[in-house]
Amino acid sequence: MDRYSRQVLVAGIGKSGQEKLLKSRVLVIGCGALGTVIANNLVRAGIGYMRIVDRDYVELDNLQRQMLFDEEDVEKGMPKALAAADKLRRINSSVEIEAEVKDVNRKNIEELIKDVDIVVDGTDNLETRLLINDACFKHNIPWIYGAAVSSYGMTMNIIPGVTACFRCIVSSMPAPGSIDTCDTVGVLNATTSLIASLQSNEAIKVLLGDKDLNRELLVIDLANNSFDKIAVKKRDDCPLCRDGVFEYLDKKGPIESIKLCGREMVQITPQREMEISLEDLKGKLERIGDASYLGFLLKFRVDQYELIIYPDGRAFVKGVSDTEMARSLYAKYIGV
Amino acid sequence: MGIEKIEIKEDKTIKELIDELNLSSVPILLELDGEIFYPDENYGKILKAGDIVVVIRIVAGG
Repeated sequence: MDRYSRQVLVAGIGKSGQEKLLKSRVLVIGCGALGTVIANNLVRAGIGYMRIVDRDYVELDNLQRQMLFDEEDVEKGMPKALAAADKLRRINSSVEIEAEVKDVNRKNIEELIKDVDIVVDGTDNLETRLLINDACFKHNIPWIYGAAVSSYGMTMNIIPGVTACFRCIVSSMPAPGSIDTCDTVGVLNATTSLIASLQSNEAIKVLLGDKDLNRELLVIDLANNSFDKIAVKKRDDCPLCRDGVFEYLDKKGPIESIKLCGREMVQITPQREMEISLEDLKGKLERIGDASYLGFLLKFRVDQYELIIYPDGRAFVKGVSDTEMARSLYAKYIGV
Repeated sequence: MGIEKIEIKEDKTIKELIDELNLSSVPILLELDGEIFYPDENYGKILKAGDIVVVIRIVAGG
C-alpha cells in the first residue's frame, strides 16, 4: 500500500478505495497515443488486472505521442501490445497484465470484455467504437470513449442504460474520407495525453463507484484552451438504447476485407452505398504522401504502400497481404 | 475542426445549413440557444438570421 500513499490521501479514495482498485479488472482496447497513457496511468494507480489489445506494431512516427514506446521497440518491430505490457510490468509488477496482439472484431470482442469491470477506449476509428458500444451495452459494462485529432479532443463516459450511448452520437457510419484522422491533420501529444488522462481518471471513478461521474461529452481544444461540457441526450430512435439491437455485434461490419490471391494486395469493400469526394480526399492525402486523382479513382502512395480508392469507398491496398493491416491503413488514411 | 460557431445570415432549415457546410455525412452535434440536438432529428427546424449555431464535430483519432 506504500507505493500508493499519495493517492490514498486523496479525498474519495482512501485505503478502502485503493483496495477496491487493487481488485479491479480493466480492458484497454487500442494501445496508441491514448491507450499508452491510459495504461500507464491505471497501472501506476494500482488496478489489479489489465488486458491490452492492439493489432499494430511500433513505428518511428509513433514515438512523438505514444508514451510507453522507445527506439528499441521500433528497431525490433515490436507489436504495441507486447511492448506496452513489457514496460508496464517494469513499472508495477504487482499488476497482472495480459497482452493480446489482435484485431478487435465482432467475433472476439465478447470474449475480450466478459471478465472486466470497465473498458477504456484507445482506438482510432469509429467502427471499433460502435462495436465496443454494442458489446458493452449487451454485457452491461461501462466504457469510456476518448478521441483526439490535432489540438481537438473529446471524452465521454458511456454507462449502459444511464447515459446516451455512442450509437446515439454516431447514428451511422460516415462516408470514408469525410472525417479527419491523426494521419491526415496530425495530432499534438498534449491533446492525446490530456484526453487519455481524463479517461483514466473517469475510469478510476467508475471503479470506485463515485457518484460524481462526468455524464456529458467533454470537448477540449488546446488551440484556444477551451473546455466545454456538452449535455448529450439519448437519441429517441437509437436502435440500441430503444430497441436493444446490436447491429455492429450481430452483423457484418461496415467494411469487409479480402486478400487477393497470389498478390500482395487486399481489397476493402464498404458494406453500404456511399459516395466519396475523391478530390477532397486528395487534398487531405497529398500533404502526407503522393496522391493523384485520375477522374475515376485516387491513387495514394505512402511508405511502401499504395491505396487505390474508388468513389464508392472501395479500395485496393497494395503492399500488404495481411487483411488486418490493410484495414488499419484504410482507417488511418481514409478515416472510418 | 473543433467547435465552430456560425452566425446565420438568412433564414434557413437545419438541413440547408448542413448541406451548405458539406456536413451531411459527418457525425456532429448542434447547439442553439443552449440546447444540444442531433441535426437529423431536426432537419426541418428553421434557423433565423442572427442565430448563432454551434457545430460540435465528433472525432475518431487516437
